[in-house]
Amino acid sequence: MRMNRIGLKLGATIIALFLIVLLTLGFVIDRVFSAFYHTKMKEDVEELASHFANMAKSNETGSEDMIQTFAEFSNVSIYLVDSTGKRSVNMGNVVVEDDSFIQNADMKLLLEGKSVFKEFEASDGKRYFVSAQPIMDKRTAIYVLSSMKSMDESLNRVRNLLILSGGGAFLLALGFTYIISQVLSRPLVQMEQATRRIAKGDLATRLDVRSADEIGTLAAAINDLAKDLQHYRDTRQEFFANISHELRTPITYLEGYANVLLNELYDTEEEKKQYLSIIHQESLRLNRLIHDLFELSKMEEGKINLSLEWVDLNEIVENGVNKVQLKVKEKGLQLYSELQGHVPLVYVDGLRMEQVVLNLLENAIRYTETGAIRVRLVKEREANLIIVEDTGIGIPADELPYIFERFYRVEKSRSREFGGTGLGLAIVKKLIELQGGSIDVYSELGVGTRFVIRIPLHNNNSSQFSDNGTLEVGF
Amino acid sequence: MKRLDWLFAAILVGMGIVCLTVSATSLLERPAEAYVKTLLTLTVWVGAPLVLFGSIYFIISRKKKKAEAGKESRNIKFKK
Repeated sequence: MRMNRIGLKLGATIIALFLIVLLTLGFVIDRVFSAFYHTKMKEDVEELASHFANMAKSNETGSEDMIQTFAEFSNVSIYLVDSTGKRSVNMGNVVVEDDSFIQNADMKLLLEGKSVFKEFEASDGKRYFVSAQPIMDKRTAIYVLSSMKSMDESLNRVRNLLILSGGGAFLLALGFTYIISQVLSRPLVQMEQATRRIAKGDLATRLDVRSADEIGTLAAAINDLAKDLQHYRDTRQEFFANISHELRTPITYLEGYANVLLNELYDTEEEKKQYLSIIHQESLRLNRLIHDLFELSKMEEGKINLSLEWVDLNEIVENGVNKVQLKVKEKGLQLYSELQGHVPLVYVDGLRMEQVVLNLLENAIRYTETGAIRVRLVKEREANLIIVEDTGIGIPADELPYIFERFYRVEKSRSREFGGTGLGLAIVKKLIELQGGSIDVYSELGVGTRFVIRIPLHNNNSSQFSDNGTLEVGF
Repeated sequence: MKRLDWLFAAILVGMGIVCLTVSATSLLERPAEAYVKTLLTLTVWVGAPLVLFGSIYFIISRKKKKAEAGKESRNIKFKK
């Protein structure tokens, strides 16, 4: 049973708020009870004093005895005080020796026919309610003294019960606050521990996301962050492995065939030419790889210069289609292009856009053995779309999010079989994003792949259009 | 939360209810008879808001989960 710090703070705050409410409420209830008792006692004593004054006014014989009996019955003390302030008659069980409750100022008021009510504390510490009524025709006053002891005792009892119930309410609140603070703070503590583990390098750490509120979203964000970091770490290692492999392969070929030629280990001139051709092809491949890497790093650093101009995408697509016609024919595929008669011009780099279309078309040819490749230009209200789709081998759904990464290959064995540097799609994505567009891919294994490029029409600032949501198209 | 945490909280809540019951019944003429009745009434008063808010929370979260599940299935259908 360990209380974490955030839970302690949360619990202490709730309890402090509860105590503020409880104490102020307790004080008010105590005041209400005291005032109620006080008023009730005052009314009772004044009523008694009024009755006794009326009885004393009557000159009937035996009225004094009656007052005495009532005084004993009511447990009060009654004093008749003359106009000089001297006690003349004492009645009742309770005898108050201290007569300082008789004040000249009160007598003056009484002689004027006014009544007096006050609280009095005798020299022995006992407290009394004092109610005095004038008896005008006898120029005397009747003082009724009622002890406050019973009221004080009742109030103390009620006060003790209030404190007990306050304590009960506090314990109740403490119990529930303990549960609330534990329940609310536990996910935060778990997140803190998880992020610490992630920071230490344990990137496989995941949080159990149970709610859809802010805490749940935060946990999901931490999970995403850990997943991304893990993926980044894995791909970085893979990237270095890939780049060394991709560079080493052509260099090995160059070294081997150069050695064959140097040591004249060939039989015929034709064989020599074949070796020279391989050296040439591999040097071109190496050159292309270095060029692609250089391009990509320039784009990632934002050092690439784009010649932006108003371009008709019909021309771009047409040029791309014309350039790949030969390859399509060689492979025995069909190539369809559906252009629009008139599409609004877009503000992009024409050459770079052609590079993008060409890259996607070459990929489509590379991974399609039978069937057709279709290029479409679609006009939308806010954007122009270039759609390149094929009937090729397709990409598994779990691989789709990663195909735009450097050197990412769906099947690692495809590298040599299909050619390519593994950087094409990474370059395509970067180029489109730099020009304010976006690219989406939809694919189904064995059915085909569709790439959708979205170029916004109002492309004032390319960086603003980097992610404009997903398209409503798909397989 | 561990079992010990729940036990600790339950003891606090139980003590609180007992204190409230004692203070509510001690001024009565026959406190012992009223004690059990008051204790049960107080437990109901404490439990009623918990049951009420718990039910509301349960219903809302269930509806939310259903809505999210429906949304996901629509997205899957749409993508296919």
